[in-house]
Amino acid sequence: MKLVTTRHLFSLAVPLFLTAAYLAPLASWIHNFGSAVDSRLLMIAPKQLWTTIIYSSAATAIAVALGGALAIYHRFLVPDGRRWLSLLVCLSLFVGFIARNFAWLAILGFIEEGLSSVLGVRIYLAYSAFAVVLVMTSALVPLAFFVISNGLRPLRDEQLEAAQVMGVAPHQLFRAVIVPIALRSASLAFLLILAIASAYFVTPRILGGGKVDFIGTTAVWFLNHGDSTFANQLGLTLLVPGSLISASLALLVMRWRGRQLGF
Amino acid sequence: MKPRLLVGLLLILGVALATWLYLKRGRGRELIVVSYGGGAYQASHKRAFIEPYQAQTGIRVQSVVWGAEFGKLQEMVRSGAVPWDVVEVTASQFLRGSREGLFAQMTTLPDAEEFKPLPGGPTISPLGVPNVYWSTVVAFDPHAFPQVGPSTWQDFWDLTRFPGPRALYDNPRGNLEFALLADGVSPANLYPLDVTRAFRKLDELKPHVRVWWSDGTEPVQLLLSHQVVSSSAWSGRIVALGEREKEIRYSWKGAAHELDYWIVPRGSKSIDSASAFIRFASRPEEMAAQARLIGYGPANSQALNYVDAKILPHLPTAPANWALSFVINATWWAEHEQEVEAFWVRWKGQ
Repeated sequence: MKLVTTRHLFSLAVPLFLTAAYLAPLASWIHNFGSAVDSRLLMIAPKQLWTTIIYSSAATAIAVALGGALAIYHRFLVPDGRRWLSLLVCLSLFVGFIARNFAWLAILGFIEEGLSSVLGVRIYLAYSAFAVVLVMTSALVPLAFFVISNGLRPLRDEQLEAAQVMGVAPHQLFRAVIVPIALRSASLAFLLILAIASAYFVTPRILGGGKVDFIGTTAVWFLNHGDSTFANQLGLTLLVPGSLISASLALLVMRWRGRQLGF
Repeated sequence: MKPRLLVGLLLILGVALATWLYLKRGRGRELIVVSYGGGAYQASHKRAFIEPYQAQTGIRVQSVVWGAEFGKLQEMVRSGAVPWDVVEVTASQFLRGSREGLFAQMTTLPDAEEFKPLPGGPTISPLGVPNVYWSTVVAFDPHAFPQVGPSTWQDFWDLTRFPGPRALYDNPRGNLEFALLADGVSPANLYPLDVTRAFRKLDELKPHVRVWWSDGTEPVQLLLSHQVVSSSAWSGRIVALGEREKEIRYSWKGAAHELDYWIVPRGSKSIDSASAFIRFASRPEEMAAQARLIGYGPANSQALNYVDAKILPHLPTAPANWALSFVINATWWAEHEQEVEAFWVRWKGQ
């Protein structure tokens, strides 16, 4: 009997590949800490990290709420409706990342013009924190939708019908059955999407007009100004929220596994 | 090993080999020229320098854009993997790069007869040839100010006379100088920069800066779409608008000139061809051709003899414009850039 098969090697290689992407920068961070860490890091990183966490959390929370609501609505549609809705959500995923930013810039400019001609006062929508959160949300809702939709799959029509036959009111069914199941996948969606959102750098740059600088945006700024070492150090500070998110994810998964195994 | 796995491995090896051969092809016969900025500026390089050089020598020249990300050039040279042959760098990068040994010595240079620097301007050296002066000017939207618009940096800061949102370049270089000019410092006394005073002056304007732009096309678009009423802008990007140029007005008072250099990065495989290209692109006729396309000022004074009288008033190096403006002190910035940039990022985020 072969002890190590190709399948074993593959199943080991993938986690190693994924972990390396986390451990390598962490090792570099620990190696450099104290000696080579740029004094400018303390001057810049805390504020940029705060901006990153606040706005990416806001965009993630809204995306999960909207994606969750859409996923529940999708769950109770007739099969044809489900297909069409899934297709529409999928289509939005295929809009190019950069194109989406510039499209929103044009849309917001158009709305500004319209409001200005109606109200006589210019209300600035583009180049603001609002614009950044709006566009990030628009990109993240489909991800939340698919994660939460998948989480709702154990919910069977027969079970719901049985509950209704037994006299359970629709609002009770919603509160006692649907919401808890949706919340479980929503919390997973939140953590996964937050990990993606906190690494955004193009949208804050384009839609924020240089006023909503995430860590990623600032790292790219320094890279463009010829300071790649410092850009690297700034980028590595994302390990702080990254580690927190990873730890939360691990706890969440362990908790679910524990429940499944009856701990 | 299973036959299917073996076939898969051979296929991957084949693709890798084909990619390597593809990437290796033509090196030595091809020259890669890197322009600082795309759009109209890169187009001016292509039409004025690259296409005529290709036609004359038969050497294929590839035009590439970079955003003057100095770190990229540093990494490239230090790693020894240098695909670029000719690169346009800013004056402060030229000083830094020369100090750090990032540039190769050119094997041929423009001769003194055909390249005459502007009065007081830098001369050519084996490490780099001055190329073009480009300018940051005060620009405004004539829809917002049909009669009189902001034409100095003091006007730009004057929100009572010229109300409305502004845009500025997301870079302390230039903006600190503009703030000091707005605060009453004369161009002759700008350097060494009083950084604290400049940031204090910038504080006044910060709430009214709608966009900190990062690309030369942005201020032009912002003004054309009436998103801001006034902005700093690179003059050439306005000149390159052609017919639509009248939709934006600008002033040379307090304009900041910066100089770019042509260099050959150390490690380039085509130093001879690269040097020959730089010599070609520094000839007065070619420089005048570029000035006609983009409206920036050739560093070779001889080129002004070939520039149309119509385009001359738009050039930073035209005597009348030169007298109203100042040149960014590259030496000061090369020494203080890193420190000031950190302050800039922190200040912007406050």
